[in-house]
Amino acid sequence: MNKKIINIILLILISIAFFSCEEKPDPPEVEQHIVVNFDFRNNGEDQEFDTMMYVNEAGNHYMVNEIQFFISDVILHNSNGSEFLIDDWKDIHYVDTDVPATHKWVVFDNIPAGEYDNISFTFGFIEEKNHSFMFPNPPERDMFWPEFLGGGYHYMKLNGKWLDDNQQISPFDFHMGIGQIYYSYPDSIIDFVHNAYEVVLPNSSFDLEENSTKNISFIMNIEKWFESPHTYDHNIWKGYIMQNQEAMNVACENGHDVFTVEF
Amino acid sequence: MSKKDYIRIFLLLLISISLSKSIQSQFITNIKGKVLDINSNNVISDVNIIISPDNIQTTTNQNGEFIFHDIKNGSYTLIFTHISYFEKTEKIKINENEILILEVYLKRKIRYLQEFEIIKSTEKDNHPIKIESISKLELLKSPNQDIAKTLQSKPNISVIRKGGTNVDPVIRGFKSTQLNVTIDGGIKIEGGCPNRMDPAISHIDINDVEKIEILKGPYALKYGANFGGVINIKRKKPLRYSTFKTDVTAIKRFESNWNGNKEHLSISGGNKDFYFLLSGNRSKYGDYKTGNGEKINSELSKYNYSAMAGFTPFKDHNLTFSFDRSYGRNISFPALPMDERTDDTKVYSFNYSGNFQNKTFNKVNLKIYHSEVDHLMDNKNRSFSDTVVAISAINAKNFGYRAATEINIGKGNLIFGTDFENIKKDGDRNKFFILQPNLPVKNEKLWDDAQITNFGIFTEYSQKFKNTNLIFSMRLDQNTASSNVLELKNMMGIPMYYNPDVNSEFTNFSFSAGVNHDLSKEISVGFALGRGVRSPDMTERYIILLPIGYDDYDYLGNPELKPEANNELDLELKYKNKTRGNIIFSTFFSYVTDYISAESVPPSIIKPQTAWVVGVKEFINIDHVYLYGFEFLYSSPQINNFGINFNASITKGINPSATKYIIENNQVIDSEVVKNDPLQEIPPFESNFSAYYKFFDNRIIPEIDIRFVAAQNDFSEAFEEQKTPGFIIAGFKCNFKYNDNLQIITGVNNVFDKAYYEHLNRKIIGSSQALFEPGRVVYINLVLNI
Repeated sequence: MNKKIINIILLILISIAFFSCEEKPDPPEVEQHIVVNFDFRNNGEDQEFDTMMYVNEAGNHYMVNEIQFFISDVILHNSNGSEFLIDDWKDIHYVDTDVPATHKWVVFDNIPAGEYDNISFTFGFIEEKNHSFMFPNPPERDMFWPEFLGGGYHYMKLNGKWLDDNQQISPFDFHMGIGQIYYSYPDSIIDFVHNAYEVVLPNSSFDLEENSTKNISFIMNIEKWFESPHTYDHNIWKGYIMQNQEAMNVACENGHDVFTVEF
Repeated sequence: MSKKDYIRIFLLLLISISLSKSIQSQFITNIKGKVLDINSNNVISDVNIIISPDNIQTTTNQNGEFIFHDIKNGSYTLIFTHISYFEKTEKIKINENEILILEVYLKRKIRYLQEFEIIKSTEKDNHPIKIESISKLELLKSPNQDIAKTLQSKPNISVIRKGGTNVDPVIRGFKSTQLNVTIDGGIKIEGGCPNRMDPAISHIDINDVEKIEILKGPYALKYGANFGGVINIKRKKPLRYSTFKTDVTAIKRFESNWNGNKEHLSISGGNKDFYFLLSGNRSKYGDYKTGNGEKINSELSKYNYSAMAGFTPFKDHNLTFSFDRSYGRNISFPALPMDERTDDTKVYSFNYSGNFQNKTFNKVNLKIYHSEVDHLMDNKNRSFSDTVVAISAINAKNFGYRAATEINIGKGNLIFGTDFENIKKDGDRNKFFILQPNLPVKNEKLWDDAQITNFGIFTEYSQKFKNTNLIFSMRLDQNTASSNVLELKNMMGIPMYYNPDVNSEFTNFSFSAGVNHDLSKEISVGFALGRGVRSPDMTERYIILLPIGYDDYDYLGNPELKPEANNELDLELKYKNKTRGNIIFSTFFSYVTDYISAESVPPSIIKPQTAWVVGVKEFINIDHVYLYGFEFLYSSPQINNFGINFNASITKGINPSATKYIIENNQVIDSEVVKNDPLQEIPPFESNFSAYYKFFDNRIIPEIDIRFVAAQNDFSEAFEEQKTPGFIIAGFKCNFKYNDNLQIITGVNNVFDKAYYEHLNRKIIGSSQALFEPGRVVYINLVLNI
């Protein structure tokens, strides 16, 4: 009798245990994202466009009309020594002062939570990624760098005007891309220089918590293009530098500290 | 569908049934009979029989039999007519409670012998495999001169329109190479354009066609690998006479709206030993106006010439050679990134048919063919050609054969054979960057010496019992594919994309079985089950970045695709009544495994190469999708010279788990899974109603038709489709047969000049606006036979 009771109790217990075993739902997927905003400043203030209100370190009075540029291969450097390359969906981002939609990059990648020491990116594109005609549509399409000058795309177009030595307002195309080494200018090009460079953003450490989205602002401080380590004088380099590797080299070296970051 | 739509359909049904009921007779006796050839004693099908003075008519079936129900007592004249026989009249008298049984013999006007093809078993009555056909007369009466567009008169057949012509057929949601388009039951053409501006069906002129057969489902396996259906275009053949004789046919067609002119001339002749057919066609159309007056770039110019010649070395053994050269020039496709500049197509074929008149060993048929398409297209008429002019040139070849034998096994009929198809495709796109100094040119391969070979063996067994037809069919395909590596190079010749794994080989097994059973003299039921396997096609395997889908993406081939398989079940109910009319209801369910679809590829892996597109999609297999739907047809009896037809159909397609990309400010920011996403490019519910009246012994037959298409609210989110509004259009046509030599067919399509577009019409390139259909078109065909 006891055995029977024990068996019944066991059966009931097993049944309860069996039916109470609900299938556990999949744990919710943990996702962390970043949103990169792009901002433009000049001497700490928001950049004003189309007004001759700025003076650079060389004493040039100048204005900025528009800026277009590419950054690529953004890397988040984790404090544990690992690196996270943003390329799940796209690895190149285009920014255009005339296209507000480009000022915000909602990054597709699911980024591991953790502490990050800094952020770096390539200004422009490395040689292996700078393919001619890879952008068939505007506005990126219109950043093409002429084939005979090395092809691919401009890293940046910073277009503006300055008050030249003759007190005339002259346009400058502060354009960066593939440079050329000339045997005899302008016809005999013997080599090309890929001027893209890595930017390591200062003070860019941040924590990314689980299931969070981090807003990060990349700020281009425009005056810095013209002041350190080289004083850039428009009266020396004139308005057009696409075929002047020396000028572009100055721009590249000045460009290492152009960007800052805010969270 | 809205409530209004249901009410409209219900009213149409009600009108159909009430009209048919109103023309039912109140007679009380019967006439039965059989019509035979006076010389051969063979039965004659399709003989038209009219009872005068009541003008009730019927036609003989495949066994030469005819029947009249409930004829009143009295004296009548029966008039027997057939295109190949002299007319005959028989006077009869019907007495009360008498069933009159007649045997009528007709004499041939001329004796001619047609070649046969081993496809006979599919033409039987109550065949378990669903077969629909479009006759020469229907083609002439059609308001459209695109062969595929004429198929739209059948339920659950739609077309994808990208321009004024060369529309691409869709049957029950299956399209492109999911359909087996074959010419004369074995000849294949591989279109040149990756965007299917020249599908195989567009390379044949409608005036060279005698009949089109449509076999829905994966059941007919003897024409080649079949996944979703077969379209068999039967070309005109030379007539063979006992003594040498020639026929001349001339057709002149004009269409208003787009100033369309089309001409056809053919000369056919021969005797019992030698026969020939020479044919030529020319078409020139301008831009058409939509119902809202908008002009659509749709101009086209086409011409072709063909010749067919054969001889009979021995009695019942025929050898036929044929070639067809066709040319397309400046054909506009406003919904594609390019227009066709030139298209030169050659089709050569050889056919042998032997009839052994043996009790067991019946027939042998061999076809060998070669077709080649040189296709040139460019974007010079597109707005984005102001920065980049792109010119593509593609060469597509198809060589193959089909050999079949038919034997009798007991009461059954067995067909077995083999077929072979070798497709070669190669093409380039040259992009001229006209914004830049020195006009740099970038060369890209679209296909790089790609090749697909398919070798198949097939068999089909059919047997007819007293009330039951059975058919079994199967085929085995060995499919191999190769290409040069898939790569996209930059201007320096360095690969930006590289895929060396390009070869694949598959062995595919397909089978089908069907049964049709007569439950009574009036009701029959059919059931079919089949599995059709299709290896990926040339585009799905090897295309290198071209926008070929409905959405704005460049597509990338995937050599590692697996074959997709359609597992389909069909059920058909037929009700045939001489006084109430005929009703056919068909329903189907398809479970497709390894369905070939496409998914987005990030620009970090590969970037699009075509202006205006937003990204790249690569072909992939998805686990499964399913499609289902029905077709309903009603045709009234032709009583008192009046008749009506009605059909309605719908297909639904479901992808249980699709990936949708979330786009904000032109950036992909996330993706999500859409459960039960409708498949893309599936047409909505549609119904057609037509009514005709036959005047003066069938010499004048006016006909009105109304086409109702519901809004398509089941659209694919993953493929960024949009809802399409419904529409109703009306048409009118009239067939006037002046005598045996002259026939005039005229009509008006879209009588009320309605502005509308089909769900499957592509968008005008670079916009979200759909390509509208033509507005009102008045057309006339003059047909002269000498």
